[in-house]
Amino acid sequence: MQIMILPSLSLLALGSVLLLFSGCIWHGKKQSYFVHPLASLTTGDGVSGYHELNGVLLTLEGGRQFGLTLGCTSILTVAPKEWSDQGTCDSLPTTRCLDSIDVASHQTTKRKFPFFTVGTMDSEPVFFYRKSIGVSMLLGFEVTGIFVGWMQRLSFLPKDDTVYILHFNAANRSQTILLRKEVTQ
Amino acid sequence: MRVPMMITMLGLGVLLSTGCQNYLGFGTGTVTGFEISPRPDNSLNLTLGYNRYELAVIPVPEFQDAGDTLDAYSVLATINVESPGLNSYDPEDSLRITQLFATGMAARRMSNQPGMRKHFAEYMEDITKSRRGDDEQ
Repeated sequence: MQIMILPSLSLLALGSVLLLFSGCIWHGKKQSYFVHPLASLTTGDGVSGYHELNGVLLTLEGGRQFGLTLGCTSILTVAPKEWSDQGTCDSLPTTRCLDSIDVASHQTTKRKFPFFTVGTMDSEPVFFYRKSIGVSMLLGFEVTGIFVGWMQRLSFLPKDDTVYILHFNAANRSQTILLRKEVTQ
Repeated sequence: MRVPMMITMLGLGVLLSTGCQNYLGFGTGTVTGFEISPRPDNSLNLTLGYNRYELAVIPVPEFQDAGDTLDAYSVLATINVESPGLNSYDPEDSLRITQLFATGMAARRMSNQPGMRKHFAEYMEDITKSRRGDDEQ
């Protein structure tokens, strides 16, 4: 009888710890809501609308992307800024103009939040990057699958009738440049 | 024992059914471990070990022909992906992407602009030069 109770108790204790330190993310259209006791959020605004959540233990996701990750996870969401607002390059958006863009003006703030925070963007995000170590079950248009081990995914899902310029470096993610120019008929 | 099996089967069914979405996209992925995911052709991808890919999905709309004012997923893109090797431990050696991506009427308009044609010609010249350099080494 004792043999049966002990594993049940340890499972219950493990489950309680996981629930206590689990985090939730709701991916809205332009807003994301974060409830996570063990996470940090980096936000940026300038050459892209940007927020990145780094969480540990259990992270649950809903909204645009559903997911359950047990382990360490880093979720980056980037929304484009208007090309015309940069004003440093000519009217034709090309990747050669990236050098003339002042990335230093891109303001990023990092905060550790104890419970709840909201990340707001000017436009709908189109660029998504995530990496995780552990077990992930994901379902959504960004990524779908079951992953065990180390995983890195990057998705770029552009809108119609638009030109995008993107520069991304996984080692320096806060300096991600994503600009757009809508071309009307 | 039956409940976990049912949950697994249900999960796989949901995973497979989500592979039918019709959207334009570009992506890269790397996994070291185990992966089950749906492919764009609705088959199942199983990985054990190491796997990476670069993928561009450009769906063609059914029963819709392109015209002067109607577009059928035109895409104009330059994509430069630099990815570290499996045995790279240098933190500076990370995944880097620089790309221009134009969709729909924007792609068609831009392809007619002389400035953009020049940009593409220069871009191709850069690629050819770097390939020649690699061959000479």
